[in-house]
Amino acid sequence: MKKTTSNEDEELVDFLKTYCPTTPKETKPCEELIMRVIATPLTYSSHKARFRSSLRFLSWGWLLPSTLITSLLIISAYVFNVNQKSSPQIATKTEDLETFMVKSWYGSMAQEIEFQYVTTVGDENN
Amino acid sequence: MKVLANNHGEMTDLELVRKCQKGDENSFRLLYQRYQHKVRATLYQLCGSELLDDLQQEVFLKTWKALPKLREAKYFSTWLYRICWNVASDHSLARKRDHHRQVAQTDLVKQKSRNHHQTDLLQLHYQELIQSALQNLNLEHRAVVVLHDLEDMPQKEVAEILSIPLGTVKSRLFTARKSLRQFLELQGVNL
Repeated sequence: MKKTTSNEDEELVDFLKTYCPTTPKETKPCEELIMRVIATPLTYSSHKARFRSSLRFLSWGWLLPSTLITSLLIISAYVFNVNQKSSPQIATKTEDLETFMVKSWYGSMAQEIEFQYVTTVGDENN
Repeated sequence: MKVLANNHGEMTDLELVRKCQKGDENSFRLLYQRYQHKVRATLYQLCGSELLDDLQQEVFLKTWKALPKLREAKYFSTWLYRICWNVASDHSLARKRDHHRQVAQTDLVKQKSRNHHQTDLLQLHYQELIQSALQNLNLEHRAVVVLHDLEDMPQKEVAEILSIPLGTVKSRLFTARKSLRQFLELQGVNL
């Protein structure tokens, strides 16, 4: 690569600078127009645009927290439901429990006696 | 409105930028007056005369809006040229979409050159040649030539403005100069 400070380059740059096209003059009072735009307070339309953008922000801003809250509710409901199913059920009425236990006890005893009866009768027959 | 306190003229860019960041419009007017010729010339070399006033206004309005976000106020001029470059790039992209405009623009330049009967014909011829030679380059190469060779900016600053490495600036400058030289030689200009 050639060095950019070579004589050829200097001649080219000199030529460019000498015959560089002159910048056309302003056709509008640019300075005053810019200063007027800067100094102008917010118009109704820009207020409206700001309001719209803030609304847009609000709608999008609420999307994330509402999604989080909904998903948290679903998860907690699920966990609560699972816990309810797996936890042992404790009888609250002790009388009912006693009755049930006595019944099942005698029930099993009766089955056992019946079985013994059958086997002893069978043996005697033999 | 143009009458300002005398001490405003002696203020540095940094001081003016700080005042602008606090909302001082008069300080911005001074910054505008300080840089508008350079910005306009750069925009003209990059984009041509079409919509030049609008582009100039766009650069300074964007500058005013973005000034509160400028942290490194001492690099204001580099930052301003970067905005200038962004506006020129956007304009170039928009113009590519509408090719007919480009043709109309070159016609306008030629017509304007023809109208300057009073000035030196040779000078006008060379100006027209350089304008065509610059337009012949793509925007990236043109920007390097305009900023470095015409605006006398150091290569490092050009790299910062265009957000490219220093090596890329050097290679683009080499390619652009070679292309310019070839174009001018084809038109009968021996350098």
